[in-house]
Amino acid sequence: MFIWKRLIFTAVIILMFHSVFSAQTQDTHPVTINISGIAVVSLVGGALSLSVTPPGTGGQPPQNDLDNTCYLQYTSCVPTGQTRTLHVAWAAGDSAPAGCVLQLIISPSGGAGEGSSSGRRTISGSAQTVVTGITHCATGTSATDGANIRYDLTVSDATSLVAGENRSVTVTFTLTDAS
Amino acid sequence: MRTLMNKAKQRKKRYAATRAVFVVLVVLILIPIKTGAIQISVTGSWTRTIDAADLQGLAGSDLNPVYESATNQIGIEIRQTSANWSVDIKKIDTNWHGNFHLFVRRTSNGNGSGSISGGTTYQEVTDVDQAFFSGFRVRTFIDIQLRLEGVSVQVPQDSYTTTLYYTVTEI
Repeated sequence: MFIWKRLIFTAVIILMFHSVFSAQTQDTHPVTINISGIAVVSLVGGALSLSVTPPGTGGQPPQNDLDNTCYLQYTSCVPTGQTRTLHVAWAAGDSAPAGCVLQLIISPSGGAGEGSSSGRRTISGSAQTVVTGITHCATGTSATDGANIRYDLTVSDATSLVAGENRSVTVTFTLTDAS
Repeated sequence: MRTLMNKAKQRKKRYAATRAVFVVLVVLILIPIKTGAIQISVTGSWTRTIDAADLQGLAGSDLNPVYESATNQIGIEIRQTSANWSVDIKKIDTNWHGNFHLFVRRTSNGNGSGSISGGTTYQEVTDVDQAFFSGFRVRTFIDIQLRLEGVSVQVPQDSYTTTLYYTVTEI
């Protein structure tokens, strides 16, 4: 009886030692994923032409023109809490024909993070904010995905119009971190 | 008198038997201490930078959702064992995004006198230990590949880190 008690006691001790020494070790390695900031934008629609045309009825003002076939497609990724803004400007030295202004309004599609329109803006050599509050988005790349651009060539002073005058301008859109 | 002597002899025999049992048990205890416990050694790490070059297409497209490491990104060695063993895996996040899903798989059998099985198809690593692969005796140069899913521009710009824990247990 004495031996069996000793044996049982010893067996318990052995099991305890066994669990401590036999047998389990561990090693690790890290995994790091760096998500970079992304701000890319492209224009779908290309070159377009706008013209001021004579009124249908004499005595009426010349007719304005518009185009809404272009789209801005953009991808944005920002740190938490940051937003981006879309600006428009044309190149230094560009201008609308005499007596006209070129305006635009950009309408994001309403997708999450694609921002809000700043309303109608008159394009000039100074950057104009056209969309604010852009955060995390990918507008899509199909022909009509993204933010629609409506250009309006508007007669601001009919007395300054010059018949036959043509002007070519280059409009640039820039996606920047909001200040 | 003779009865007393017999009892004394019997006690001596019992004592000797008990001592023998203790010696055997002590040896059994000391063997694993002397030979050392099973060891796992993990080498390597995985760092992936995801930027505009990883977009699926032009501006307006999203990031590729899936990324894989090299097939031999991580190396594992199992040493100091002549027994069967199994390896469990889990992760502990430092700064990890909820959209991410991390997978792991074994891409080589490694070298050694023993054997290895399991873990050759991708399995998701979670915050709790899960069986990864198992084997017998020493194995070295076991290659591991990692795969990340769930990446999109909805994941904020940041550096995300988790640590993978590999635990080997003799079975």
